[in-house]
Amino acid sequence: MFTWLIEHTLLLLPTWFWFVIAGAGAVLYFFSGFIQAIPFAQARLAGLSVKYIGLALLLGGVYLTGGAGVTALWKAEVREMQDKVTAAENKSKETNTVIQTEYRDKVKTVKEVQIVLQERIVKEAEKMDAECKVDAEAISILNQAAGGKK
Amino acid sequence: MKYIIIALVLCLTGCAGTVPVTMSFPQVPEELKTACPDLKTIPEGTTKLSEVVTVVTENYGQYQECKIKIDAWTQWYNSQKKIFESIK
Repeated sequence: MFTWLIEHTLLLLPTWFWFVIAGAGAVLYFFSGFIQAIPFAQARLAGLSVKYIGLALLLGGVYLTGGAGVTALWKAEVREMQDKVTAAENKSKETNTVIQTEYRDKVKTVKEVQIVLQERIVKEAEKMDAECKVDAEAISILNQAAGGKK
Repeated sequence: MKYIIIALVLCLTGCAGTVPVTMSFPQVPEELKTACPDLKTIPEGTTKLSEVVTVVTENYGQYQECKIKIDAWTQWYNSQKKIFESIK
């Protein structure tokens, strides 16, 4: 609730407003001494009230001037960060496209090589099978190696 | 008077708040998300060398594709890390 109040009311006011408040507080604080100097009991009480009101306005005004300054700094930093994030996201997408294209090209090459090799095997199959007979144990070893199991 | 000056200096810090700026997690190309398939095995009982060579060659091809995928993942990670670190 307090944060909402700060964000939607106090921080929307321009910085000069808080300068004016602080300035008014300083003036009140300064003149409270003159009011107190008037030789009446009521004037002394009024002077004291004006002094505290002036002090409160001065401190509050200076505090919110600082707040407005800090907010402006934060907003600038957030804007800068947001720009960096947007640029990074775009760069990330571009990088993904490059990686994807490279990946597809390389896989395509592998598949083309596979086709060539399979054609060669078909062509040379008769010769290979005539000269060599594979033992069942060799098949078992190869399958176990491919499965990666004990 | 000096207390007022100290209070004024402290007040100048104002009230600071944090505004989160988040970067969405970078997406990975769809092709890289699929798992590498198991290696093919040779049909039991075959004695033909050509059948063995066929399966072995296919497995080599599968390994090559998988290697390309792993290399792409490494490249993706390194480049995304570099991009992420550049915005700090």
